[in-house]
Amino acid sequence: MPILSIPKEPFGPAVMTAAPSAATRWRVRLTSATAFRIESLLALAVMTAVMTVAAWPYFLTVSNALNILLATSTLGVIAIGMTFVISSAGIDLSVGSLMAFSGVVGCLAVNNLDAPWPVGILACVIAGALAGAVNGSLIARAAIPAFIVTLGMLGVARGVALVLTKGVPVYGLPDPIVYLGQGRPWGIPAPVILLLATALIAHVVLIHTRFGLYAQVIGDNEGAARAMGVRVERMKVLIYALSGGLAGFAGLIFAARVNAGDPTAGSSYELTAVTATIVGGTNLFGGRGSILGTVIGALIMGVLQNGLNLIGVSSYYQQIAIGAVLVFAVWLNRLNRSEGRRR
Amino acid sequence: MSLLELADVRKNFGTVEVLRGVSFSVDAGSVVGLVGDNGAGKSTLMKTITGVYRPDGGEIHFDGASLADKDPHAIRDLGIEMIYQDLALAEMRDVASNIFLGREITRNVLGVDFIDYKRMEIEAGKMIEKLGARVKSVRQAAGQLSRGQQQSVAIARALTFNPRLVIMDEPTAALAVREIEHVLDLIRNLKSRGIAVILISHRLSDVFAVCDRIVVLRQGAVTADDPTAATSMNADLENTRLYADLKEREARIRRLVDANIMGVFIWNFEGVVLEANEAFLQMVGYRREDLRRSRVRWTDLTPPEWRERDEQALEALKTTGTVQPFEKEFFKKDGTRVPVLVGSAIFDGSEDQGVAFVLDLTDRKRAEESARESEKRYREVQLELAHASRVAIMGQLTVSIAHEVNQPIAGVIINAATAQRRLAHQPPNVAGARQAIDRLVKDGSRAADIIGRIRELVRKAPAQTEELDINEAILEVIGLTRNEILKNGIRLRTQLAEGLPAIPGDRVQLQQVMLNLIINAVEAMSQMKEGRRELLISTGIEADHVVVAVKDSGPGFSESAIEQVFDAFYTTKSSGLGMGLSICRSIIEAHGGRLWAAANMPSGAAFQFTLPIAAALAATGTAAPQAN
Repeated sequence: MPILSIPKEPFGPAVMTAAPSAATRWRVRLTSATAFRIESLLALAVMTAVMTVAAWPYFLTVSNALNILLATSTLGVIAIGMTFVISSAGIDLSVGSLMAFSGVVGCLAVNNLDAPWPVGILACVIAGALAGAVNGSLIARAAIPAFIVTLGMLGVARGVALVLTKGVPVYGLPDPIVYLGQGRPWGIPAPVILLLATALIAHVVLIHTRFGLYAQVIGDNEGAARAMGVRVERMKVLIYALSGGLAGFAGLIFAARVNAGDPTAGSSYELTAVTATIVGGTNLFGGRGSILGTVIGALIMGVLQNGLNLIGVSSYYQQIAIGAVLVFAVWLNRLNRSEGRRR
Repeated sequence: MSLLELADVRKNFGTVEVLRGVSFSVDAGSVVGLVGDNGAGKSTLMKTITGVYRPDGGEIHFDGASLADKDPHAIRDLGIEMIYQDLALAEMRDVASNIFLGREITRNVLGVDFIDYKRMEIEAGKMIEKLGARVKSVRQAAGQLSRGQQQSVAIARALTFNPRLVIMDEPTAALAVREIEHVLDLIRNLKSRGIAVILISHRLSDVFAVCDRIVVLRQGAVTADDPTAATSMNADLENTRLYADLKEREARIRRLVDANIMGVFIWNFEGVVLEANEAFLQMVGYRREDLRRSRVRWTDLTPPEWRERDEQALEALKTTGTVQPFEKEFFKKDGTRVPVLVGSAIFDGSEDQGVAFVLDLTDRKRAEESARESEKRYREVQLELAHASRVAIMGQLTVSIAHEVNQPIAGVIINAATAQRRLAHQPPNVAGARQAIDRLVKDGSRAADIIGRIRELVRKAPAQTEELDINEAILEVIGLTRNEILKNGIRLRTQLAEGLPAIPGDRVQLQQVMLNLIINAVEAMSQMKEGRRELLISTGIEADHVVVAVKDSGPGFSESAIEQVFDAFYTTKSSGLGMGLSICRSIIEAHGGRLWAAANMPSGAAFQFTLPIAAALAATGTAAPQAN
């Protein structure tokens, strides 16, 4: 590491403070390097407590807890992709449609084309990633706002899924794939394990690789990223491809769980995924993301939906609740942002 | 072979040609200043060099290699660093991440590059320390740093990777003077290490201080680039600046004259007005054409009686160069006069010309006139008041006056009857009758005298100053009030000094004062249940003043009330207006004297007033009541 030695002190005497203690460092790492907020954990605890009381005794059981985790897994995987997108100051509204589209493509591949099951798995992920790459290319190269591009993809992907299946779910998947949705290694639902594995890898990628860092820097100051040699366009294509690929992966998990490719799956998942991401502490305006926070955010969504189900609130009202939570979370995000930024 | 060579570089945005064939070169270890207006294309040129923009034409070579197909990352790797004016920091990232942005230190684990934050923090810390930047911790988010600190981070970032060319875009724009010097030092330091610098700056002083060469960019093209003559260009620019300064100063002086806040004209000793502003021309009623054609002469503008004053002013100008403002008059074009205040100064280095500043005093004179008017009105009101007060007192004295007048009239009647009886005697006692008639005449004229005096007091006469004998005036008042004094069982003593000089004053007004003081004393004592009732009236002389005192043995007044008694509307009497003493004081003061009250010993009140004697009055010029 060649470093210029400059004998003069052009900016006056150096003031370097002592390194913070290990505990402080851990906290700083957790809350500032990632955008994780203690508040989201608190929100999850409060939500759980409320639901425990409201839906006593059905909520607080091991089987219900696993239920929630199972229900959260597809959403969680999608929200993890969304975390990268939102960190880069983008948005991906096509995730729900891509999930359905990918699931359908995978199912069709193994059923109609008689492809072996690993190909089916790959088909799901690749279909989603390709559609995401299309999103990214249009956003980065054609400079169309992400909101419009992904909204368009929302319609296109859903339409394609419906066209391919003529609106009828494609039933029947090979056992190895079904195991991904219904298996219970060590008694834990496989989708939960897949979610946790995805989250772990995504966390390392977001925080410890250039890809993750650049995604956040693009959201922070795109001009700076560009000036410092970050290939912003390529990064954007990759970010949306990642989001699409994870949506495809979620589509695979969902299809495996229900043993069918459902062209209507994942409807309004974009709303829930964005909400989970923002509730988890990722900055809506880009610059900082947190995978841990997103997983907690997804759990909050899961607890909310599950609890409301147990209490007997209609799913129509659940939509209202999720929408309200999103707006509330963004409002909190804004408050934090206005006081947290510069001086 | 220069380090950086640009040849005919072009860049368009849509149909706008921002760079229209830019060519220049930068040698290793040299500092090139790039100057130009906003919009000249400086920033676009820099971003084209650093690969952020792709050029639409021309060649850029760095160390012999073409930059045409290189992206910003590759260009940074070649050794071109840029410090952007907006600093290009990711505000939510910490200092270490910003310094290594785009070139993170990584550690390869299982074929994956992981960012080594720890090493980045250590290296960034070293760099920051080396620069001596006041950054608390390399883990602080860039957005939480001050502008100066942010700049240090941007500089540290540029210097961390052995650059061979550093481009600085307005590095001093947002800095304090002290910090600017540090940045300039840094540039010199880079140069001494063989690193080339392109400095973009609006501050020409920065450019002159450190640059070996200056490239001027204008509308997307190089209009000046002289590698050998940075200094001569420096001089040219310096001249341009001096010229601009001169023009600016001239404009300011022009403004002084044209603001027309006061009249300004330039004149010479021959009497010609060479130049004048609108304010002066308006003051004297001339038009600009008159000035141009008929040569307005300030000597002709001056009325004859002011010529002498002008001579004095010219004398002062010749000796001291300036003349303090003085009042005079100018003739207007229509022959009327305008009162003015004039001050003047001779121009340095031109013996026979000067500038004069003229203030129109018409408004001020008018204001003075109206002040005089209101002063006069005030006097009139005062006179009215004094008269009203006199009449009121006379009213109070009716019984005493009637008694006073009655006595001589009774004498007249008795003497007339005596004369009749003596004439009717057989033989008529003519001598006795004559004796009685003589007494009758005396009594008659005494009555007439008294009535005359009363009439004088009640009459509403304008004030008139005469030389008067103060003792006589006092005795007359005593005569009018004697009955009042006796009626209340008061013993009157008078100590009137002999041979007092005559006092210039208004008899009626001064008698009014005496009347007031005596009546006040009588009234004060009339309410006493016990104790001696004594009134002492005295006159005397003290330095250049006549002193008159009226002292009683009444209840007197408290210390605090002493001055209050002279206030208008202050009264202790149930029927009084409270104007008496207030009027008295203004009368005495109008005579140049003083009226005051004090406690009398052993009891009672003592009112005293002074009146300046004639000689003193003339010497001090104190105003006596004026005859209007």
